[in-house]
Amino acid sequence: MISYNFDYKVASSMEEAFSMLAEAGDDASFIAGGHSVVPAMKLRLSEPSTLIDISKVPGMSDISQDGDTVTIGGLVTHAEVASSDVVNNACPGLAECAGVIGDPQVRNKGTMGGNVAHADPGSDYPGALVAFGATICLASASGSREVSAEDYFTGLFETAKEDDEMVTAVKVPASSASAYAKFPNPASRYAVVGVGVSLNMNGGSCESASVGVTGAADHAYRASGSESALAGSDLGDDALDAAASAAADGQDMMSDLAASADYRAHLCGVMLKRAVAAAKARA
Amino acid sequence: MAVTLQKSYSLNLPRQDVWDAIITPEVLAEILPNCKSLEPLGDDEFNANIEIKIGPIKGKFNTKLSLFDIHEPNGYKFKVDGDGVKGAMSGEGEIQLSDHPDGTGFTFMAKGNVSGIIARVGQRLIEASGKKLMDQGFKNLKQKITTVPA
Repeated sequence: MISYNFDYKVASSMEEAFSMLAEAGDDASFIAGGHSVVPAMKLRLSEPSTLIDISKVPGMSDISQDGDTVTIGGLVTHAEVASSDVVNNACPGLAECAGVIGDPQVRNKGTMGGNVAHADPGSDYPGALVAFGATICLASASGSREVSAEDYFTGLFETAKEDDEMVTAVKVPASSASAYAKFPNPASRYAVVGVGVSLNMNGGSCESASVGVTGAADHAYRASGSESALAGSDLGDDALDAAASAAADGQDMMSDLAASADYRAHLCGVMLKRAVAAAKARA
Repeated sequence: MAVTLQKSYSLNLPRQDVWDAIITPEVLAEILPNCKSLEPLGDDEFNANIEIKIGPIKGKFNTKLSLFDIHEPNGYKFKVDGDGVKGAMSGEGEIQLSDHPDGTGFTFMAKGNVSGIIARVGQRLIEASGKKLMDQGFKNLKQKITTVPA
């Protein structure tokens, strides 16, 4: 990589990071694991004038559980989520999702906060976070706020996050009957389609279900048609077929070299069935 | 790589009002997504500076836009030719206005080609980006003509 000239600053606290950002202006970017920012810089698709390294900022590197809520700091890597006992026990679907992101290098360096801030349409986490009812914690120099994952991912690389905000943590409700299934692009490992499912089971019947889809449309979405097809059913073939055929309803499927829109819609159903089967087995 | 875009929208305004908006250069400059400037080059020909920002990708395009086959108040065809550091785009398309239960139907069709670094590395995003820009353009149009005093 032969780079252009840019400034590099290391923030030692969140306050310092925000003041560096305010000073550097519009073209600055936070960097943590560097697995969204650096690839774009390598190709010169993105040319931030200043990189503000937040990887040393304290207080964002832990996974903790308080009652039914797991909090994952913005600097926690995908590998840490995948191997965390807390996450594997409380929300196995999220650990499963983290374990299939990219390749080992991406998982060892890439962070939760960076992934969520970048909001690539083919990224795995957004589908799982929407499905599991996660909350995104944002902070700026003027305060902090929380946004539900469903409201956070709004479009192609578009989120509810303002330019001066940082993703500090993600809160995920415990869901033991959860799973994530994806069809990866064989080259990039991005999700051509990825589906997260969380089930609320009572004996053999499904009281309610939550389904999140990523990779298919230009942002992760909740498949409410699939959720209602699964709710109140015994997860038999009829319910699964109905849920699978509703998984792309009302959404504008993306189309590219990897998959046409029709094929993506089909994959939504296939991945949904796989995720439901895995989630059911964990109930 | 080739891109095809097509979408129909509707507006609850008379067709003439929509036509007046899409044929007036000053209004057009505000409708075109991320258009920084639109200078007339001649009859129905313009030079547009367009700055596109999609996620991490930022690109400036110096674009020539020409309108032809102009049929008031039914629509026109257009041709674009854009050049930038990160790639080039060229294409042809058509805007059709029609009667619609809501007032006016608005159909946008375009076929184009994108080349350069954007096409090589951003191909999985080009169509989605095109759709996004198309929706944004229509949103701009709607906002513009509903706020213009009659």
